[in-house]
Amino acid sequence: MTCDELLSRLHPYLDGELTPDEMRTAESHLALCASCQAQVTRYRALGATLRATMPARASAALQQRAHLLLRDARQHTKRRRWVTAFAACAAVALLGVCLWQFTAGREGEDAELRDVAALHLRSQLPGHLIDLTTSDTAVIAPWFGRQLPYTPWTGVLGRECVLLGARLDYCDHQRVAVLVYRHAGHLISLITYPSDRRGDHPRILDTRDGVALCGWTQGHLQFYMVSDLAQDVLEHISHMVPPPSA
Amino acid sequence: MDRTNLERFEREIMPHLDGAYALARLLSRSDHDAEDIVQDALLKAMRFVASYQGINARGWLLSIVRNTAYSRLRAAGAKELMMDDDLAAAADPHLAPPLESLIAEEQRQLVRTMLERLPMPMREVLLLREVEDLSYKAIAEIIQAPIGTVMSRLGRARERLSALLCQAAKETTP
Repeated sequence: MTCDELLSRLHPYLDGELTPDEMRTAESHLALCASCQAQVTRYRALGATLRATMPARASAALQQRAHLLLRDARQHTKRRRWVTAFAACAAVALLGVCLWQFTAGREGEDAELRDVAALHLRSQLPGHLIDLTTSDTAVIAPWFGRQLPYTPWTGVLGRECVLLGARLDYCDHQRVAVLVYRHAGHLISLITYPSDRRGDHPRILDTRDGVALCGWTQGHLQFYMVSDLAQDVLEHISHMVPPPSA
Repeated sequence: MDRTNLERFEREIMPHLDGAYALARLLSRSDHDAEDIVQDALLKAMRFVASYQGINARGWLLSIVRNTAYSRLRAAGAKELMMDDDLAAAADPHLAPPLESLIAEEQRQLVRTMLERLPMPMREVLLLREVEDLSYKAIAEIIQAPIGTVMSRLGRARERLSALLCQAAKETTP
């Protein structure tokens, strides 16, 4: 190995970046060449000087800043954990309330449906069906008006339903208006009473105690139609009650 | 940052604070700027520690410090970011007086002054190699240059610094 060859690899040699074979070759040259060895010594001394010159530690001011930075991050994390914990508790509580309301709502609805079904079935016992026997809505409406604090819907349901008369009954903790119709030999009770359910609710279709029920709200009125007709027929008939604007 | 990442940051990143400061100090040539740079770098490291998957935490932090320093200096309009190879013209080493005479405590300030006269790319490879003791490969990853560039730049940096020191020694020696 010549001096030029060694000097071309001087820096990788100093930095230990040569292959083991190249290292050995370089060392064998250095052992014999004082000039190249002097270069190596020079640069090793330069490295040592640099290390001695560089700050060995971060300044006190920086250490303080880093300390504060970490403290803030820790507090932030802690606070975040509190917030997360609080949010989780709130979510659980909210879920509980929703479930309770949902269940309560379902129970309320369920009780109402049972009530309405029972009302229809009870009406078919002897002497309970009709209080006012007339197919004239002009007679029924004022009759309801005298007995009830609200104005129920009174009307006919197409040509296939015969209005038999009206009745007062008790349901959902109040006196309610019932219109009785007959459709193809089946009795239909149409129950109307004021409700605090507002807005559009999906039409409820259900069966209780062997009778079909269809419930909906219209304005401030709750409607229930009950019959031993098939559910789909009952729903079809229920759409004959015109919307409040009509 | 969640607790796991914060703990990881404290465990893996914080031990390299000293090295980060040395690099920032060398690049900025100012104690105060170095502190600002490292603080910025620590904030970035905190933010991204979750995405850091490597095993070389020191190299990762030093990369962030370097990028922070460069973008600050670029924003300040520093001209020395350009690598000027003419600056790296080597002095004839055979004419140099022994460096050992410069190692004395009172000469360290001179070494630092001369070091700071080197262009930034030279300063940083010198620090990463001589002080941080990183391999060419690790340095190449930090400065995002090929290993061959690291090697040649390091050689030129040593020659240049050596030449500056020789010159200074000659000037101070009658």
